[in-house]
Amino acid sequence: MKHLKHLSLLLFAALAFATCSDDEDNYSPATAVEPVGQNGAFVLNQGNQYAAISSSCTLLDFKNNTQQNNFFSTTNGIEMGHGVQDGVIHGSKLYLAMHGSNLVWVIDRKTGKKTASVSTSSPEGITAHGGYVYVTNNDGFVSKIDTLAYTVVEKIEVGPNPVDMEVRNGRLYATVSDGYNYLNKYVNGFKVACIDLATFKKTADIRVGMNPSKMTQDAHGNIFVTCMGDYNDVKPKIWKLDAQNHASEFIDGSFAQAHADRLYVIGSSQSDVYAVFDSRSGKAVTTLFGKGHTPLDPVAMAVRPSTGEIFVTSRGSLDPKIRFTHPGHVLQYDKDGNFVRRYDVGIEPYAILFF
Amino acid sequence: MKKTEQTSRFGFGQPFLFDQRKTLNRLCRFCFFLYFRPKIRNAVSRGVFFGRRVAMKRETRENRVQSRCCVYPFALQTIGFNPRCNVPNAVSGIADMLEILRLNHRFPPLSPTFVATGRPFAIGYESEDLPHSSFSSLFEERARKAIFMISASLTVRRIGLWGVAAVLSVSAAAQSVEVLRTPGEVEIVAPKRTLTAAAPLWQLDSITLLGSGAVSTADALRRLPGINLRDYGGAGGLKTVSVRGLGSPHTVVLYDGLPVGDAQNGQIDFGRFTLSRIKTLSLSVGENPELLVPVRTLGAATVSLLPTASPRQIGWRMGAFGLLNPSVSWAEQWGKTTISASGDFLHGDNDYPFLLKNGRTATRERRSHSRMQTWNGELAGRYLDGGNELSGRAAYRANHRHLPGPVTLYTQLGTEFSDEQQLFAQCAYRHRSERVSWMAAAKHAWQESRYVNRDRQYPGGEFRQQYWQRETYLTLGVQRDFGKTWQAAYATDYTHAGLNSDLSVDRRVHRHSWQQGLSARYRHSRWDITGRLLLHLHRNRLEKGAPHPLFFPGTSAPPAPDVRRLTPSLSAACSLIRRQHSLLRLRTFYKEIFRMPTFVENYYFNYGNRLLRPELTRQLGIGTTFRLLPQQTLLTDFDITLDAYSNRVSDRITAIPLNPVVWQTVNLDRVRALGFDLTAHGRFRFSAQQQLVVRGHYSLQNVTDRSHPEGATYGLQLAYTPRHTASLSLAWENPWLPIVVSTSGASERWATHQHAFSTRLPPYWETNLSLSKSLRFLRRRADLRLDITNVFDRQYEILRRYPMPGRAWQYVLIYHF
Repeated sequence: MKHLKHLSLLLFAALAFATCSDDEDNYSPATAVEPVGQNGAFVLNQGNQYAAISSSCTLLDFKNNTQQNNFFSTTNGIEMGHGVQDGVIHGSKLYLAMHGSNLVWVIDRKTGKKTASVSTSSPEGITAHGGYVYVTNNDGFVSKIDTLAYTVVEKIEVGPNPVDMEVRNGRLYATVSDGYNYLNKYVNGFKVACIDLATFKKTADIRVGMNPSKMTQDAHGNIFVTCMGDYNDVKPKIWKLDAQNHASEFIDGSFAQAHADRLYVIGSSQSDVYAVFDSRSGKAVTTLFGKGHTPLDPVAMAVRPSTGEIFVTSRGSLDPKIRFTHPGHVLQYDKDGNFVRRYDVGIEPYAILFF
Repeated sequence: MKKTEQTSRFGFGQPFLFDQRKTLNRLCRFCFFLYFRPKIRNAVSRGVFFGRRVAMKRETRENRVQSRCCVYPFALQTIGFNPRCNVPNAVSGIADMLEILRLNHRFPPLSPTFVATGRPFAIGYESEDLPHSSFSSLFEERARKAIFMISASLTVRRIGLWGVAAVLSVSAAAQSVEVLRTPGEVEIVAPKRTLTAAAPLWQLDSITLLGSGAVSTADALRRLPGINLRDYGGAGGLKTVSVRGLGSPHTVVLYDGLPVGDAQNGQIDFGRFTLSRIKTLSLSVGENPELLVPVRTLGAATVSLLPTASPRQIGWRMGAFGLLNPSVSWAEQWGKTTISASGDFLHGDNDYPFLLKNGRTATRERRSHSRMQTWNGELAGRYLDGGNELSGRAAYRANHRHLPGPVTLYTQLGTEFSDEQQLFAQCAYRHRSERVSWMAAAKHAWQESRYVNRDRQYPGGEFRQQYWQRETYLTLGVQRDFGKTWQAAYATDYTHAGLNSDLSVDRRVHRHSWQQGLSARYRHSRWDITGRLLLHLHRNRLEKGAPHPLFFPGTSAPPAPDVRRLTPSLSAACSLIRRQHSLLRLRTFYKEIFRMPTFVENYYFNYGNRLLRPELTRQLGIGTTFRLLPQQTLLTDFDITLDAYSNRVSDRITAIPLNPVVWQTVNLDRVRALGFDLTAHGRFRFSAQQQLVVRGHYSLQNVTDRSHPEGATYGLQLAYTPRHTASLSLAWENPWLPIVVSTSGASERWATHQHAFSTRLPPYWETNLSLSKSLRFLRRRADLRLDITNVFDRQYEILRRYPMPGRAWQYVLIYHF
């Protein structure tokens, strides 16, 4: 049994290994009036499902310069559940994809009170567009959630272990990783599924690198796909999906975040490269984070849309025995990469949502 | 009932018919004969009397207690040569006799009335301590018959000769035991217990197990000192034990004297051993009381399970949450050969309710997807011819389980299934004689485990793994006695363990192990010193072929390196007080032993590390046993053991993340375990009919990480290791309805090594209540027992998010035919 447990641990970790994606490009027009990121941010901490530590949510209030850990459990009196993967703010609500608990929480953005929960199998990526919230289900589907009725209204099969989504020009792009099929080298993955949102039908599969996971979109409609490789020999790469759906290998790196015409990249633990690239040419603009405050063990990266500040989440300890059970940090850098401050958040801070 | 047949042979190999008067005469003559003719006694002791050589001479000598009191004249006195004695006399006679037995033989102090109620185990208690099950079953059979006779005769108020016959049969039974146990001189020997072992040994036989209130093997283990049980809850949950902070792969599990192996994971699930089929459960730490044993049994800690050689009986166990456990067993004796067979089926739904705490709320939930079914079949045979003993056993077990997984908030898992099949056959040969003893055994075990996760997240909609393990085991040993003080023994073991899986591209992994052990024992006066030197050779091999995707990504990767090590151990014991009614013994031991990495730790994909070194343990222990048999007091029997230890584990194998997906096992940790174990047992006799048996233990375990002083977990108690564990059982034995109340518990634990705030597991106590009654039904005995577990419905978890069952009941009905 032990090996199974470990295997599932690996699998879970595999599934969990992905960077955050801001959904600032997909905000509904209602919230797009004021620049996103002026008020604050939610940091989603995964916790540790195998130590039965519930996920949690940290509220960063930029205006009052305060921070509140365990925001969800404090306001609701219950635990958040297991394995939060991603979230999206849509209208007045915050939607959280809880992979381990098989549900999507619908939370009031202001008060933090839960409004509803939508039951859906192992949700992973989450995004919103036009009154609907879209969720990738790790068992191979993209589900469409009605934000009025809070029910899954439609499901479409995209391929094994879809991870993240981006919306561009009325089309939904979902990475298909086949991440559990590591024995066969992720053979059924290698693609980004393209779904027409008007008909909710899959229109194309675009071939990308091995084990594609998180996506991010720049101001010019380029989608960057982080392909994680096999964690052994095949190193992680960032692929670029241009506006004509032409996919090509862009640069090395395991975390990517686009902002305006820049692409912020972390080379992960393979090399301590924290760099900024021009998102069109791929030329390095500058090297960041070289000032003694590099993240210890980065988990996710986000750029605050209103200011261009860079937020990197990190695990709090490299000690192998506590690496995944120790509270993590959020490190804030200004847009030139100078360290600003550190927030102590929950275990495994996995995504940052600005509002 | 003019004649009572004795199924066993009594007297020079001839069938003996229990005619009362004749018997009395014969018995008296026999006793005198025995008592006044040392030569004959010697002959008897060698087993001529039974037409077979007595095989347990070694044990008897080892277990000798210096009380040189003989039971025979007392037995004769108490039955008084008077065939016309009335019942009160007979009863008092038995009482006296039992008192003598108790004083000199550590017989449980039984009141004759108690005996007369027909409780089956009243005398069987002693028999449990006999080293050989056939002898004990023989004795049990006699004792049982005797008790039946008494109860039958007393209940119908027919006095006179029946009572005498009963007494006689009791004494005959007792004598038969004495004859078996007397090694060449009239010297009374005590059963094998902690007090005679040079290292800590705790033993629960079927009677003490009953008296301890345990309802499962894991539950019984939790009542032993130094043991830390990991239980995933319910009848289907994995149950493993670690002893004195050493980690569960260091615990060697013996079934019927030979080791049970698992080279894949190194963990033995105690859920697979049904308690009703266990006759004796013992835990020894550091040293084995016997000198000539297979090398593999000399682990850091050894849990030994002796299966019962139950006579013909049908059992029916039924309980809450869909528990159903019918069983049947059968035994037959033909001359020197005993054949027994048993089978049982266990079904459990395990859908017990539990309290789920979630933030400030708590909801009542029910475990789901936790059904399990097990089929067990076992066939055993034993051939005894003087000092030669040949025994064999074959068993098959099939198990199907739904794995409920941990309790997950807001959702219920239910996609995992496990199927296991185990088959083993073993045979052992022992020869004992005055100076040289031999031992040889062979075992082959086969195990298939299938795991399915029907979760659509996996490729093809399910994740399926199938593994086959094979283990071949051979052992050979010889012991030579040099006079009375020196003994030396040599034993050698060969083990071949192999593992393969169903994956299309398969590469088998193997390990050949050759272990040799040289032991010497010096025993003189108060001293008992044993030293052992073990040489271990392990060779790892990979079968040629395509690489195994799970067990080796690279074709050119060599197997794990071979291991050659020498490990010593030394134990010494000294009896400070050896009086007739008190005994004080001090013991100490030092032991070094290691465990090999399991196949998973060596080879598993994205986890294993073939360059692992073995995990080494060093144990230092000191302990004492004090035993008192007070006279003329309420307390009639009292013993206490206290052991302190300091253990160190170095090169501890731990998995660390290289990145979130790829983990690797490394020899990273050092662990220090400091602690002490206290056990106490007392027997209070209130009246001839009532007594209270109190048994308890307390263990303090300070098991801390000592890897790196700057590490975040340095000095902290290891995860899932309680600092305090304790158990207490009270058994009120009475003629009406014997009651056992028992409780066991542990202090707080943490699910993480760094004691993360939300992973604290609060202390727990579980209290069990057990009522039993023996009845006569269709002229046979039926034992009925009712257990209520977790009487106070305490909600607790041993592993986080694996809740344990709340209040539950079960009843057990055993009908002897």
